[in-house]
Order: sequence, then structure tokens, then C-alpha cells
Amino acid sequence: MTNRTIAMESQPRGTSALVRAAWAALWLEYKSLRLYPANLWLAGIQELTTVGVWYFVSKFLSPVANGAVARYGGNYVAYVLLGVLLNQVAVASLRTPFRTLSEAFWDKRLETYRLAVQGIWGNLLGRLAWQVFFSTVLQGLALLALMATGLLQTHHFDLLGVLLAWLFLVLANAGLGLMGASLFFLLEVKKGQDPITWIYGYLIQIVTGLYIPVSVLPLWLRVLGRVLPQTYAFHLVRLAALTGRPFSSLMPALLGLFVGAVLTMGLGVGMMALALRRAEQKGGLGVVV
Amino acid sequence: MAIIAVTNLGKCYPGSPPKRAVEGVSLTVEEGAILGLLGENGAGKTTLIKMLTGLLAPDQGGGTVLGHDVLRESQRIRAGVSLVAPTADVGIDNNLTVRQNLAFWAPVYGLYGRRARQRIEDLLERLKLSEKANAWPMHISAGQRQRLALARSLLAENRLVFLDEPTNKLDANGVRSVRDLIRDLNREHGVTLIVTTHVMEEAEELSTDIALLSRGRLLLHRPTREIFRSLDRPRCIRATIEGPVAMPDDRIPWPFVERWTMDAGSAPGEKILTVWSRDVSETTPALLRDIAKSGGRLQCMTSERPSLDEVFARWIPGPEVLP
Amino acid sequence: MAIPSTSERRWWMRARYELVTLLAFAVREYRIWQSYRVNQLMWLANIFVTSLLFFLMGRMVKGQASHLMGAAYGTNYMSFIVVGVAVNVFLYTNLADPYTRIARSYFNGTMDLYLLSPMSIFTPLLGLMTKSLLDDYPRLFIVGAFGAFLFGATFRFNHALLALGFTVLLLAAAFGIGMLSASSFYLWNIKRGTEPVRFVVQQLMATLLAGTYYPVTVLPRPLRWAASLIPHTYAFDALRRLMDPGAHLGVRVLPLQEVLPWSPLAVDGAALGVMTLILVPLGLYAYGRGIEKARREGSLTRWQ
Repeated sequence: MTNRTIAMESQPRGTSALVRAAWAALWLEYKSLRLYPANLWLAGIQELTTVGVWYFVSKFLSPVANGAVARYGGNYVAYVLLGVLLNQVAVASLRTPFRTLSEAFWDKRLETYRLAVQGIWGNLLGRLAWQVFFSTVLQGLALLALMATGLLQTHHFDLLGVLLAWLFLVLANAGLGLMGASLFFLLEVKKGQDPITWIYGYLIQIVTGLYIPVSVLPLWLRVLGRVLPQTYAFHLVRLAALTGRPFSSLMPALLGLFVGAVLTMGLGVGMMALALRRAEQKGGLGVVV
Repeated sequence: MAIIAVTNLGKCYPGSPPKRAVEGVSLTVEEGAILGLLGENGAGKTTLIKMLTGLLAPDQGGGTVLGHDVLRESQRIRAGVSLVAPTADVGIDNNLTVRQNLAFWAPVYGLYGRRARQRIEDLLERLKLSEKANAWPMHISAGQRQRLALARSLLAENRLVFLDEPTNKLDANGVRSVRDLIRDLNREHGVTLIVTTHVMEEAEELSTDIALLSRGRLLLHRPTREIFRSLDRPRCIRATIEGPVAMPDDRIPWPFVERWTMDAGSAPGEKILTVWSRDVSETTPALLRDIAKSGGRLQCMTSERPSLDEVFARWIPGPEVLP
Repeated sequence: MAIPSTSERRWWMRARYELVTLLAFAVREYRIWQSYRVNQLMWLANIFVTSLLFFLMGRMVKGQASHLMGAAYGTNYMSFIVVGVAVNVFLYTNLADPYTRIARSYFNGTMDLYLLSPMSIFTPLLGLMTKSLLDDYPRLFIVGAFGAFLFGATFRFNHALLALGFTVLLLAAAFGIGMLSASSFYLWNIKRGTEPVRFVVQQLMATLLAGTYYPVTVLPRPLRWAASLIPHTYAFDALRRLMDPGAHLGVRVLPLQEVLPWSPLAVDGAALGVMTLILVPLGLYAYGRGIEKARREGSLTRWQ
């Protein structure tokens, strides 16, 4: 019996242990933000800058682009801004797993996390939850500001439906993020960005209708967009918020998004578990110098 | 000729409250000396070195290093001294091989072409890094990285070298090779070295002079031998000898020895010679000579080293300045 | 060749030493650059996707670009975008690189060693920036090539020399800002987190206001005036007028062009010239002051 096995025998297990470990990681993130309050302001300004750039780009293009988004209410500025806000949250969820694993590895914390039963998973979950929460708050504030100033006009919409679309999108992206993070050990991609989230990040921009309406795209790009969760989420939320379509009529798309979320999460968790097991077999959880 | 001559040097770091790191240090180091700079953590050793290398401006006192004014000519001082800081990774790029790392620094220190290549090969050889010349720094040991950092600093061929805890993190072999190198540099090339260390043994072995710092103040600066001779008690040298040993028993046969005993060892024919000396460095050669002359075979020899506390206790009056 | 002392009267010997040292940095940076091939691939992909994105957006604009962009910037939105992206690559390197390089040298401990050598305090900084020559500047041509061969951007080269002159001016002005940004590391002791000069100028003003993807006429008037404070705005304006097909040299767009009686290009040149004259000496001076301040306060090196 190894020392690690003995040490882990006495530790609490199960879901509650995972939640407690995740809460500890989340609390640490919050504390570090409290320690550097300027980061909060900077993050807010950066988010607003992104929204601002896309506001002006869409405003510039709107005289010719409004027609291309007639299906979504014919307001290209609103079309783009809503997509950008939703996507910012999704991307936070997409990128966090690899970043978390990479930072823990290079800061030589990963082996310490591994000594706790839920250490690595708790840390991944906690940071993911914090990043999604933080980004959602920022985007929510930006959304309220845009609505208050009249720059973004929406219809009355089914809040529960939009929240479900948000949740499934976040989960699907987290699953993809975990798949990408697993390559840290499976393909030994230990620096920069993993290939899965890297390629996915580009696909989001081009084929999901984030900035360019899908109808404008060539057919082969449209086909590619049909398998990506973002395409469904943008479509659902825009139709609901910009045209006031009831969510009941959008259930097939929501179901598709749900299936996508389940599949990617399942695959992501499985690949990550495999990666950690393989890394331990190779002795690769810590930095060897 | 003094290579370092500073008077009343002091430094106070800003902050709330401000921290006085060094105060009123007057120090003269002659060219060709090896100065062991001793002191506890936070004593001000690094701050003093930073001021002497021109990396930190003193806010009190003045003087010269390499003949340049420490207040007005810091750039000239910086250009003329070498430094190895305690982190072995300093100056080493992990994307370049050991040799490429040195090849980058050579022209920075004014070495070009064949002379640079020759100097690099020479240093690799002397620091036992030739076999690792084409290895990546990530794939060599901590000790080898430390030696690479030393090689980098020695490329400059400066007359004054500062070594901040140079044997930190090294194993016994690493410590030995670095100490040998320090001695060679001093003896063969006349380089003046300022070596900071926590290890009294290292200071005793290497230094011609020792300076003791505590809480930013220079408490003592004297020749090493004088410091050790003056300690209140003699130190024990123990030699295990095999074979015939004939020692005179009617007199004290070795210099600075107060008394000695000869006992039987644990193995047949083995003897243990125990000597109490007030100057181990003077006694040891005479002792070795006599053992060899009498036909005995020396199996091992150890000598008791004084601790930093003992030196403090002997030289520094009053308990308030003890670490 | 012996190292000339800092007070060496034969300035050319000193200059030669600094140049040889710069060359040593360049060789080292080239070797390091070679070991990051994946990064090159990622950058290529990034440029390709950005170009493709705006190409696809440009499909919506087709035939109406002139109406949208105004007469000053011609008839091809893709050409407009390519100039914006290319200039951004250029400016970002000169503006953001100095701080990053200094921070990296400080944290890996090499700054101490650079300072403990006969080099001028500026040589290591410029030497480390040679990586950008290898890494970033060729991307300019890649941006142009993607735009021209894949996405239908076209350019005029009948004012090539003038365009080159503007390029030199904008690089110098951006370097001045870069040096100010770098000096904040020591002068204001900003060693972690976001550096304010770079953040405000590059990440905030240049991204939002200078007009990389849209002409500044889209902005409300106060923001157009804010855009007038950074060199990016004048560089975009001048280079688009000089290189984009159908662009006009005489149509006034920027607030300063509307106020001053000179031609728009003359206003751009004057603005960039003044910025260069102020920012470069100021940046160099601030960096030197920063080093001296850090030497007094004990924050010059990480080694404690």
C-alpha cells in the first residue's frame, strides 16, 4: 500500500467531498480577486471594450447587414451584441479547464491536489464555477447597461428558457474544455493552448453565426456549424429575445443543445479521468527538472 | 592596494516603516583577498553586495570599488564586477544548450571569435561541464546549473567577483569543485572574491579574511586565522591510523597543540590520535608529516569546526547583538 | 577588441561594442524562436481566421463599401481591414514588447546580469526586442498575402515611398509609447498585473477607437477626439488613403483634419511627427529615470 493510498483512505469521498473541494477552490479565486481589486475593474473594462468594438463594427455594417438578419428581427447590432455577450461566458467555460490544469502543473501544485481524493476535480470544478459566475455577472451588467441606454432592444422573453440555453451552452463548452485539457497529458500539450479549444475558438467565430449570419455562409461552413453547440444557443436566444418567439416552439433546438451538453461533458470527464490515470502511470503529474 | 574601500555605507529601504538594512559599514578589501561575508538571514549581506556591485544606491557613506566612486560611478562599477546570485537559474536560458548559453554571454563581456570559443571550452573543462556542453539546461542537475552560472560569471575575466552563497543546493562533490575553483581563481589569476555564506567551515576553508554582519552592522572584519586562533577553547582533530605509530610522549610535538592522546581503535592494529589545537590549519600539516614519517597509514581525519555562534560569542560583546 | 569604458571618447568603439552585443542578442533570439514552431503555426491560423472572418463580413458589404466607409478610404472593405490588421501587428510589437521583455528579464533574474555588464541600459531592451523582428514583422507580409491572394484585397503602390515614411514614423511613435510603458515597470513599480500605459493606449483606445475594423466616423464625436490622441488613428488614416484602391487624399475625416488648414496627409504626418518627437525622448528618459529610481529604492533586481 503506497503512502498516497494510506493518506487517501482517511479522506472523505463522494459528491459532498467534491462540492466542498470545489467550494474551497472557488473561495480561493474570490479571495485573490479581493486581494487585487484592480483586476476586477480591469476585467470589467476589458469586457466592455470587447462589447464596444463589436457594437461599433455592427453599427458600421448595420446599413447593409440588417437585411441578412431579418429572421432575428432585422437589427444587426442587437444580433451581434447578444451573441457576443453569450459567447463570452461560454468561452470562459471553454478555456478554464486547460488553464487550471496547466497553471497547477507549472506551479507544482498538481501533485499536491492529487494527494486529496477530490483535489484535482475539486479545483477544476471550483475554478470553472467561479469563471462562469464572474463572466456571467460581467456580461449581465453589460447587457443591463446596453438595454438601459437603448443600444440593445429586446422583446419580452421566456427567462427560464434563456437560462436553460445558457446552462447547456456552458456545460457543453466545459465538456469541450475538459477534452482539451485532457490532451495536456494524453498528447503532452503542456504549453500554449490545447488543439481542441484552439480550433473550436476559431470555429465559433466563423461558422456559428456569432458575427456573421449563418445564411450568408457558404454551404460547407453551414454544415460544419450545425454540429456546434454555440450555433444552437445563439439561434435559440436570439429568436427568443429579439423576436419574442415562445420557447415552446424552440424545444427541438433546446433538446439538441441538451444532448450536445451531455455528450461533450461525458466525453470530457472520461477523457480527463483517462489522462490523469495515464499521467500517474507515466509519473507525469509533477514537473520533473 | 584596496580594491574595495568604503566608509560608513548605509541603506534604508523605503516603506512603512522604512527598513534600515545596512548601517555604517566601513570595509577595506585588499586586491587578491578572499573575503568571507558571514551573517544570519537578514543581516544585510545581500544589500551590502548590491551596493558594492552598483546595483543599489547607498543613502549614506561613500567610497570606491575598483577605484570608482560608489555614489557617482555605479555604471563603471557594474561594468567591472561579476556576480553569481544564489538562484542557479539566473542568466540561464532553457531554450539554449549549455554551450550556447555561454556563447551568448561571451560578446557581452567583450570576448569574440577564437578567444571566446577558447575561453568557453576552458571554463566548461574546469567546471566539469564538457560532457554536458550540448545538453539543455533543463536536463542537467541543480549543481551543474550552479556551475554553469559560475562559468557565465567567470567569462567576464573581471578582477572582482561576488559570490552569494555559491555552494547553496550543491552536493558534496559540487561543493568541493566550486571551492577548488574559487581557490584557483584567487591563487592563479589573482581574482579578488567576496563570498557570502552561512557555513563557517566554508568561510574558514576559503577566506583570507572574514567579515561578520549582524542586523545591518559590520561587527567584525579580521584575518580568518586570527579569528579562529582567538577562540576560547582548543578544537579537536581526530585521526584514525593503521600500522606502527611512534609518537613522542614527553613533549607537545605540534604547533598550537595543548594536549593529545593516543587510544586503541576498534580494529586490531588501529589507533586513534586525538589532538586539541588552537590553530587547526597550522597543526594539521605537521601532524600529517609526523604520521607519515612514523610509518603509519592514515585512514581518516576529522576536525571540529567552530560554529558561527561561537565566533559571535567570542568577538561580539553583549547579548543584544547576537542573532 | 577590448570593451570600451563608458567614458570612452572614441564613441565609435563604444557603438561597435553595443552593435556586436545587439547581434549576440539577435542570434540568441533567433535560436529561441526556432524552438517555438507551434507558435508560428498558431499565429498563421490566427491571421487566417481574422482575415476570413472579415472577408465573410465583407460579403455582406459587397458593392456598398464606399457608401459605408466614406470617400476617403476607397471601395474595398477587405483592403481597409488588411491595412488595419497589419498596422496593428506593427504597432503592437513596438508598443507592447518593451514592457513584456523587461518584466520577463526581471522575473527570471537576467536583468541583474544585463546591468552588471558594460552594456548600455538600452541595449538589452533593444536586443530582446529583436525577437519581434523575427517573429512579428514577417506577419505583416502574411496578413497582406492572405488578404491579397485569398480574400480579394487590392492595394495601390504609387505612393510607396510616402507610405514607407509614414510607417517609419508610426513605428517610432509606438516605440516611444512602448518605452513609457516599459519605464512604468521601474518608475511606478508596476511589476504585476496590467500595465496601465499599454492597457489604456493599446487594449482600450487603439482597439476601440483607432478604427482597425471601422472608420472613426462611426464613433460619437467626443470619442473621435479621444482617438486623435494616439498614433494608430493617424497611421490607419494615412496608410489607407495611400494604399487602398479608390481612396481620396483630400477628403477630411479626423477631427484634427477638420480643424487644421493643411491637407489630411500633412495633418497625419505632422501628428505622427510631433508624437515621435515627444514620445521617443520622453520614453527613453523615463526608462533611465526608472532604473535610477529602482536603484535607489532597491527594486532593480528580484534577487533579495
